[in-house]
Amino acid sequence: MEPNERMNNKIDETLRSLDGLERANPGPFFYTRVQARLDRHREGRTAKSWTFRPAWVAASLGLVLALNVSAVLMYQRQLTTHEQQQATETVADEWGIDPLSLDW
Amino acid sequence: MDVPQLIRELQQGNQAAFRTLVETYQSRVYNTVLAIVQHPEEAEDVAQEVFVQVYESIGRFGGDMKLTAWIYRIATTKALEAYRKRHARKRFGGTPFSFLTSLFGSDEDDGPNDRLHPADFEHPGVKLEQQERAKVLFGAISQLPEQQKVAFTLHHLEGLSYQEITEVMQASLSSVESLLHRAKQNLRKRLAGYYKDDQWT
Repeated sequence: MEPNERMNNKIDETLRSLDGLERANPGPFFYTRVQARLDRHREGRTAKSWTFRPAWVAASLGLVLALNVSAVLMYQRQLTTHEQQQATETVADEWGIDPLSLDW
Repeated sequence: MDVPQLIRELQQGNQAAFRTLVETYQSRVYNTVLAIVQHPEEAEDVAQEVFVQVYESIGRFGGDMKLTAWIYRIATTKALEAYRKRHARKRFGGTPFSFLTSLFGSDEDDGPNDRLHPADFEHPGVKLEQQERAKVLFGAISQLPEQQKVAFTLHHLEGLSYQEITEVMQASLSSVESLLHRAKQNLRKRLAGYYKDDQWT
């Protein structure tokens, strides 16, 4: 037999090796495993949707806003106290008085 | 239960209908996925994902597509995704320099002109006396372009007709014929290369 012919026969035999193949099956209790995976998917989605519910989003935003406002107010109060102190010191310097006595 | 009724009940979230669907289609889905990913554990995982997607998107199912074709379409898409992911991991995983070596084409296993290295995949449904040849053939199938691989798998492993494949792949009859013709040509070429090398080893 010619080498080429031999090669072609081998290839044809290989291509025919799937003839009469039987379907492969997944392991037993496949449905149970699908169901468990489906439940995990649902739980994941529920947890995600719970975190992103509008009420939670609004509450978180409100908290951040409140913290910002209180920070600004505290800073302003500090500034005012500092300005008052400076004004007292200036007056005390001008009049040559002890600034502590002016505070009284 | 006929198919339209099964679809209606699935769309209403009926668990018994879903169980019927899984039990009816599980071997078709698993067999198709297994032929593409060529890894039993991964095929089981992908097959489960297929049914999760079927359950979650059955509400949107409609139109002219048949349920069987729709399920095969999801199965082949998911199997190709999993195969691609594993292939990418192999290509870029391993040593920190494997990314560079693959870029410069010195990765011996994965070059574009790579010789056929049959994977150690044994399909459980192949006759015992054909196992060795089938292993070589599966190695060649794994190197086919994606669309050819899908068409070949659906026709030769699932026994779908050309017409049924057109519904799954949403392609014309002539495209499917051409895909199957090219798949066979490519397989012959790869097998010839393999047996030629085999003579010298």
